[in-house]
Amino acid sequence: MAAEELEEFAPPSERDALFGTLPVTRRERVWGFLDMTWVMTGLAIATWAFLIGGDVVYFLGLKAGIAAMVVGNAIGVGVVVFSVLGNTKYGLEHFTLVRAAFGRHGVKPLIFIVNFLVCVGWSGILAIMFGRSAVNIVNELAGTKYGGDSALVAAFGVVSLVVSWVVVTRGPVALKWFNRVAAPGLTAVVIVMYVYLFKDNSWSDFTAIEPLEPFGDPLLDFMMVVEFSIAGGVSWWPAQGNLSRLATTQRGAAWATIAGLFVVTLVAQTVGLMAALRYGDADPTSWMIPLTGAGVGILILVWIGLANITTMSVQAYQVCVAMRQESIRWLSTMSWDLLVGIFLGLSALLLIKPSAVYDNFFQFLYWIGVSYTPVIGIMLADYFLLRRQAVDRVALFDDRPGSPYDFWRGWNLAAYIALGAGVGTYLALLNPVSLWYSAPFKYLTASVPSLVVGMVVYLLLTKVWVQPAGKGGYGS
Amino acid sequence: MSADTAAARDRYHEEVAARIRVRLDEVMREDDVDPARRGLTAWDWLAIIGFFVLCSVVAVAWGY
Repeated sequence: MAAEELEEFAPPSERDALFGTLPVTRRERVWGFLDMTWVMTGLAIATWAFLIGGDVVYFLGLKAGIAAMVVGNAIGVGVVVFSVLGNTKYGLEHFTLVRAAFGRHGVKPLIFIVNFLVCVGWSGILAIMFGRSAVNIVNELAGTKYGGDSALVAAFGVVSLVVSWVVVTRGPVALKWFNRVAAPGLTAVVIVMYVYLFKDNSWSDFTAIEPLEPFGDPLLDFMMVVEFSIAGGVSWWPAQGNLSRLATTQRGAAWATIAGLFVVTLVAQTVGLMAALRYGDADPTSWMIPLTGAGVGILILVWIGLANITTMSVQAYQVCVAMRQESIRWLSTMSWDLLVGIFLGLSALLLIKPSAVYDNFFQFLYWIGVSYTPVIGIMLADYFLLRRQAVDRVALFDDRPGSPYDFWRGWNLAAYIALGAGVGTYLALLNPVSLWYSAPFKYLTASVPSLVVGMVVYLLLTKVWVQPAGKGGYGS
Repeated sequence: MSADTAAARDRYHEEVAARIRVRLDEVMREDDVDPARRGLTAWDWLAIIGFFVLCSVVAVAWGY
């Protein structure tokens, strides 16, 4: 039963706040600025930062790459910081607040389809990273030459998913303790990487290295990196909503998020970019042994593998708990082991051809941009412009037909039309699969117009349709 | 899934709903003063947006 596992996973206050839909009370807000900064730093120093930094090598060299990452993260993290202020103010679980804009049923596709698929994708990518770390160790120790798409990568990836399943279904207490050492360990990895990178190379050596596969148009290459850096920032949106509600003040939450997810992330992404430039390869698992030698390199790869299992387990746990609490009966009554197994099992599909997603990781980020940026625009419009930062907390939990956030049988059609307009705008500017782009993309990005269109369409439809119809509790 | 398990899930949801009501009562009391409810000031907004804009402008001027 989820309740008992929640009890094991975290103390009661954290349990309710992190994994439940209950609004937190003042005494449960435990993170001041410094505490929250430490939590955010732990999130920022994760293996995904190496992946994002590494993928910059396809388009840009060091200086332009850092500049593009700064711009992209400033936009992505910036909109996330503002869009979750309501979660801090009211202590609300992330998707509970989203009900105010999408309706009590309308929020469900965002949980069960969008958020679910994004998390399945992340888990699959981390499983591949685990597999490639393991194969690099095998190659080093046994003198073999297994490639990045070999069956052994898939086999080790499956092992990581099975271990994650065991951890989530059987031993969350062990995971809680491992979490406390994962972030410090990865911080040490970043420092070790910087030391080794500058041991035999100067700054000018790095700036002289050309990117691997640029389009050749400097502005276009720059915007491609800005675009997936924005997506990297907005990918934190659901998690950030849940974490920031434990902050004691909105100001502290905002600046702590900036310190962790913007500043520290850039430090970790930059070391990824430098290593990728040095070795001409975007895959973090291929750098470690050549960079630091067999002994330290194997230790780092083992650590990366363990850190990935931690991330996969936490992600599986949170997604599956959220799904069980959203009152869909057949999910509520599904066995916990089976539900976690389905989530992680779907992630295993990405192991069929690891390079298809892993080696095009930035395209996965583009999909996150497509999915999240219009929703964030809608939430910004709803919370700040239409509701003036005041939501009806009782109504958010009111499942009765005709309640303020019931809209039309639980669905706010205006939000979905605005979401469609935002997604359409993104796809008209950039195709995440083919990388086709239209002329304005080079000047506007795809995420920013998508967010703005989602916001404007939602505002207009609410003013001319939803409010006159007396829906949404805007007048109350 | 057995009827017992379904009934257990129903009880669990009812228990959660009751806990939500208790918490809402607590956080909506007039004497419940929570610093987290205090919104960002105009200076906060200016500082945060200014920080991001400044970082972006400096980065582009330096790196692009």
